[in-house]
Order: sequence, then C-alpha cells, then structure tokens
Amino acid sequence: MNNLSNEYKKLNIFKTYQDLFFKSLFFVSAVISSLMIIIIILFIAQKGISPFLSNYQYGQQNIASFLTGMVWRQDQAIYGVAFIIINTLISGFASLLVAFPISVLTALFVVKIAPKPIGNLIESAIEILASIPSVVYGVFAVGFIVPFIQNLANLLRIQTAGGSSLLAVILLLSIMILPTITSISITAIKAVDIDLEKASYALGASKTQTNFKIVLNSAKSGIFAGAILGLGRAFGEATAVSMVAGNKMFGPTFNLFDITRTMTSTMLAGLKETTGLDYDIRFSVGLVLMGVILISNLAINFVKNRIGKNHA
Amino acid sequence: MKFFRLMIIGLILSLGLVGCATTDAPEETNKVTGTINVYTRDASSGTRGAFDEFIELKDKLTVSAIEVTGNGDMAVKVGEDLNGIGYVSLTTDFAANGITPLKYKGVAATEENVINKSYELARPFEFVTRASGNFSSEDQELVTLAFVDFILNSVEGREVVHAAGGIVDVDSGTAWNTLKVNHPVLSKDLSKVVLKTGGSTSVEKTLKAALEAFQALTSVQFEMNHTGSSDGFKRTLGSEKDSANAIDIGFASRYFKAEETVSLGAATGIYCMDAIVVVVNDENTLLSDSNKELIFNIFSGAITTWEDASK
Repeated sequence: MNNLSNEYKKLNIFKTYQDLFFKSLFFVSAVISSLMIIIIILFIAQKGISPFLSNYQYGQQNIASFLTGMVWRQDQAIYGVAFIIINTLISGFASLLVAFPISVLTALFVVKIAPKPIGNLIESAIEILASIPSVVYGVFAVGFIVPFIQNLANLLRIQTAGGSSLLAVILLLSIMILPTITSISITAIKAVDIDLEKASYALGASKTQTNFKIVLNSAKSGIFAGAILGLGRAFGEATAVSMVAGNKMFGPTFNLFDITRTMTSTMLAGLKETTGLDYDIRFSVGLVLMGVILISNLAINFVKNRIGKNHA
Repeated sequence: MKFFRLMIIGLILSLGLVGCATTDAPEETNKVTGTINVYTRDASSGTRGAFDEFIELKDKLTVSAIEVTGNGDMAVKVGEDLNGIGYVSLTTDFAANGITPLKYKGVAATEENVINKSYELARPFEFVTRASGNFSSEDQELVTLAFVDFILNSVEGREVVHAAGGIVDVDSGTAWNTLKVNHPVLSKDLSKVVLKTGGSTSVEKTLKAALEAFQALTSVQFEMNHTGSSDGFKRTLGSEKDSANAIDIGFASRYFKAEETVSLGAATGIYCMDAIVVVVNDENTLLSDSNKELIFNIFSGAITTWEDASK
C-alpha cells in the first residue's frame, strides 16, 4: 500500500515538473516573439533617426523638409517623403476600396449561399491565391495588367508610360489583398452563431436580409481584421509594386494613368548597391511607413466601431 | 432584387470595356508622337553612373523621368512604351525586348566597335598591380601576375568576364592550360595566399567572376574591397601603397590619368570594356543616330517631344 502511494507521489512530482517545463517553454516563446517587434522598432528607429541628428556623419538632414518635401532625388540628395506618403495612402486605400466589397461578398457566397462542393472549391482557390509569392504577382502585372492599361489608355487617347501607372498599382494590389481579406472573412462568417440566424428567420427576415444585417454585422470584427491585414499587405508590398509603379520623382499623383511612387518601392530601389545617407534615409522612410500603417489601422478600427452600431 | 440586377448590368458593362480595350485598339495611335518618356535607373546603379558620366548628366536629369528597377526592367519597359527612351548595357537582348539601339555619332553599338574604340559610349576596365619587388612576398607577386595573365589572356578568364557583362574578344584568347606552364608558382600549395583587390566598384561583377574561376583552378583566396576608381592607383602605387589599405591589384573604370604613373606597376592593362547603349522602342523610326548633345537635351528635359527630337 505504502509502496503504491510512493509511486503515485513520484508520478505527481513528475507531472508538476512537466507542467513547469512547458509553462516556461511557452513563456520563453512568448517573450521571444514579442521581443522581436521591440528589437525591430528600436533598430529601425535608431537608424532612421540618425540622419536628423547634428552629429550625423554624412551631414545633418532637415527633418521638416524630409517630412514635407514633394521631391525625391537621390542624385541631388533631395529627400522629401510627403508626396510618397500621399501616394502610398492613395494606392493602398483605393485597392482596399476595390477588393473589400468583392472579398466580403465572396466570403458570404462561399459560406452561406453556394452549395458545399462549389464553396469548398472556391475556398481552396482563394487559399492558393493567398500563397502565391508577390514577385509572381509582379511578373503577372508587368505581362498582363500593364499592357491592358496601355491599351485602355490608347483607347481613351491618354498617354501613359507604357502602362506603368497608379491604376496598374491599384489593380495589382487589389488582386493581391483579395485572398487575404476573403479568407479571414470566411473564417469570421463561419464563426457566426447559428442561433442568431435562426432567430432572424423566426422573426420573418428573408435570407438576404439575414445575411447582410445579421451575419455580416456579427462577423464585423473578423472582417475588419481582414481589411487591416489586407491594407497592411497593400502598404507593405514592395517587389511587385516597384515593377509597375514607374517610381516618379515628384508628386503627389492623383491621375490614374500617371506614374507613382510608394514608400516600399522607394526603400527597395537600389538598396543593394547604395551606401551612406542614401542607405540610412531608407530606414527613416521605414519609420514613417510604420507610423502610417499604425494610423491607418486606428482609422479602420474607428470605422469598424461606427459601422452597424445601431444594429448591435 | 434591384440591387442584384444593377450588379449584373455593371458586370456586363465592365466586361464590355475589357473586350474593347484588348481588341479594338486603334491603329493610328501606334505612330510615335508627343511626349518623350525618359527612363532611368535608380541613382545607385552603376550603369546609371557610367551613363551620367558619358553624357555629363549628373544632377541634371529631368524630374519627370521614370525609374526602373534593373537592366532587364529597362529593356521591357522601353519595349512596351512607344514613346520611351532609355539606356541599357550592350549585352542586352534588343530584339527579344522590342527595343532598337541608337547609333552614337554614326557608329553602331556592337562589341566589335567597342573593342576597336570607335563606339564612344564605352569605358575601359583598367587594372594596375604593385611595383615589381614591392609585394608582401615573392609568391604573392608571382600569383598576382598569374591571375593577371588569366584574366587578360586566357579563354577561360575572358569567358567568365564576358558572361558577367564585360566586353572582350573571347575567341582570340589562349587556353589556360597553355598559359599556366609559364607560372610554376601555381604548383605550390597556395591556399594561404590572399589576393587583395580594390579600386572601382563598377568592375566588381566581372572581377569577382574571374577571381572565382581562378580560385577554382588554383585554390588561391581573394579579398575584394572596392571603394572607387581613384583608389585603384593610390592603394597599389600611390600614397596608400604601404598603409593598411594596401592591395595587390587596383582597378579603374576609366583610363588611368597621366599623373597616375601606372607604368611603375609590375603589370597594367585593360581586361575588358563596358558599353552603354541608348535604346528606343522598335516602332520608333524617328531616331536612328544620336550624339551627346541630343541625348543630354532629351534626358535633361530640354527637349520634351519626339517632334523636336527628330528635327
């Protein structure tokens, strides 16, 4: 008897140690992943702020003219980021405007309307779309979207730079963020409590009314999380965008058929070959980009909280 | 239901637009008229550096230029843009991209014309070694001279330089097996010997290819530390030849100047040429020849329409 209880005690101690071990393993993983963001921000900030300090080795830059400048010319060492911020916001939000409704309606179709086999087929097609590397999108854009826009411009008697344009960037980004928003919306819509829908039907609502007023509204939080991720991808996309943007040296660009320049394509262009101020200033652009993304996310959250408030 | 009907009509309308755009592009827009679209590489590109130098365009490029991401990107973009003009390296496949190279001062851009120096949008990749007897050891000098022989005269050396974009006559080279008997030092164990190179950054791509090929044949190590053409002479024979910056072979992507007395070196010469070609779209028949003034005026924005450029 005594022997048995000893065995039991041993097992218990082992279990306690096991728990403790895994607890600390999880804790360490959590610390590492959260430390990464702090390390990245600190590193970018330290590099990005350095050109504006008085002891900068390549000559102190004026932060006001950096933030308000409308010209970006590396050859003359003129670095103004204001028009690039505006261009990035325009292309990002315009592509969100195109992709968001399509994505949400697709998700609704896949989950609530389509017969199961068709829904599954579309869902896996979207998942494949989400996993395509961005440079493949870039090649597609150069080979298909750009010539298409050139033809469109010819038809409208507008001159373009061979099709490289703001419109090309918007179309490209719309296609790229479509799967991101759709797949997250699908997850969100699937998670909506079926009782809510049943209650809606019981009150005499039609299927369409239920889908738009109950399902979408309940899945609002997840759908907007998808929009935030999509916008993040649109702002962050560098490779594909720099292939079709044309990288204009001044701006901002409002004409859909004019060339444009985004923050990521600015950071990427020639990064591997450059040194000195031209290298360091890219970190400053990165810092500004992180600020832009943060503010945009807050703005989307604000919109989310306003939408459908009267239904909730 | 109204909503869905509207959506369907919208869908049909937009499909119609797509159809028009791809099939009914009118013929007459294919003639090159109006604004010149100037294409350029980003400011850190070596090709752009050379182009700016040839045309004396530094800081004067028109602000409405379109920046592309690489040599291939430039070729594709100008090939797609009837109104485009840009510049690429001579090794580019013109026909495949739909671009036409312009003559410069009446001379066609061919490898032959670059090598015989009649095509002027070209620059030499020059090298110079330390003075004889002034190397860190005798083996170091012999190995350096063996490498110089390899990059300068061997078919193998010229081949890798050519593949890396340098313009050199591969066929008139000599097989390395024939040349290497002149370098008995190569039969020693050379895995501790480190060849140090420096000077022009433009030569790095072709030089690295040659050094890697040489390393595969001899097991010699190398160390590249390139900072600019003017340091090529300085660090082998000039003011820094005995400093920590000292190197075995210095490079310049221009002709050595008269005050750079490279004849003091154990070996000096041009191992390949680098050439740049101004290109326009295949449909553009307005221009076939060019000169420095015309190119400068187009790229600086003084001439903005094809009508003015072809006058």
